[in-house]
Amino acid sequence: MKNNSSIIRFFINPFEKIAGGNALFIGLIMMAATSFTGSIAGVAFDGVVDVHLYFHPFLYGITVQVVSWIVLVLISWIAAKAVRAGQFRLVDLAGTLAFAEIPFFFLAFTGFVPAFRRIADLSSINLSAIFLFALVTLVFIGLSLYWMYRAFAVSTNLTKPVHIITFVITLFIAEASAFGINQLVVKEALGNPQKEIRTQGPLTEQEEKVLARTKEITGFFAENDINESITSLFNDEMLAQLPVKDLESTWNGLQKQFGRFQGFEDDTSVSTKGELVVTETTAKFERISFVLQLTFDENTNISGLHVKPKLF
Amino acid sequence: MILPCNCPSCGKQLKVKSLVCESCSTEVTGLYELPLLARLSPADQDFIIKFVKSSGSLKEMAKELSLSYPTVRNLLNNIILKMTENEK
Repeated sequence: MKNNSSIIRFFINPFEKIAGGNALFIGLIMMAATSFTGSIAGVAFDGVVDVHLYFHPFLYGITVQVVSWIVLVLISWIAAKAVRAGQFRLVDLAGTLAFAEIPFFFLAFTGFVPAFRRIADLSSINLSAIFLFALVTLVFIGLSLYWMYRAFAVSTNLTKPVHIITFVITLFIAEASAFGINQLVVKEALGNPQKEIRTQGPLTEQEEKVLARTKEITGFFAENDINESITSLFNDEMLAQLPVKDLESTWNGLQKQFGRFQGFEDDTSVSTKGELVVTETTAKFERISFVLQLTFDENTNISGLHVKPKLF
Repeated sequence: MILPCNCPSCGKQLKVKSLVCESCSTEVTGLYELPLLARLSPADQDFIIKFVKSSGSLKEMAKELSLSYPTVRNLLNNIILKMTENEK
């Protein structure tokens, strides 16, 4: 009974018992274990509270995770000083915030679940899998966020209800800063594993085929000629979800909202992820540029079509 | 017997009205403030005794109480805050 209550107490506030150098040591070991597992399972923690399913090298995984943690520590330190917290040790803040990321270790294993993997590969849209993935993510991110707050409160003794607002603002600023640094600096320095552009080296036979099909499809879109020739390249699952009528209305809807379609840029990239080949081409509209992402299955049929805003 | 510091009825701080010498039974009456340390709760007083006994080392205190360093330091900070308020 006593054991149970001390476990619950530990979950509610682990930093009552552990902080400083010990928490930092355990936190950093677990961060390395999380990044290692994530690099095998294809789960990246590329923000303060971000979990994304894509394959990446270990060096990239550990760098984005450590950068996000350092940014959170620094912004928390500045915030605590700004609201005139008493004296506190940086090692407590750094250690407890590193320890608070332990729940991410368990999230790294989601990449091994085939149903979750298929969401990431865009090879199927299974609503139950998406819901389950969201639920699992929410539980572990929720625990990590709660621990981050406890870490901030215990390390700086900012425990009044008004300080929750300080922590939330801190978190938003840290998340935005970490996202910016990871996108603009880390991905620039280490390469973007989400976009393996094949501009050099010979393409595989499958990639050549896929590129030709992409050109064929973008040709139809460029002519505003949305017909069965496009949907005939869809696999059965995709065709059931996006018949030609829906595709046409989606395309027209985009033009209504973002201005007339101006054309495709000659920047098609191709990358192979397992049995799937993904191409990305910039589509320019009057008011915004999008990325048309086409995913092809092993039979060179389209298993995914996504239009997403071009951010960088 | 533990010295009561707060009124059991309204919770406000108690004051000393009389003191007795056990040897000659002389009684002094008046309205005296409790000393600063006596105005703290028994738990806070216990913390201060332990703090003094460990030569003011928060690290030692943390080990003895099986608590983390910032938790112990926060307890001390809260006592300092209470003492400052009591002084006013």
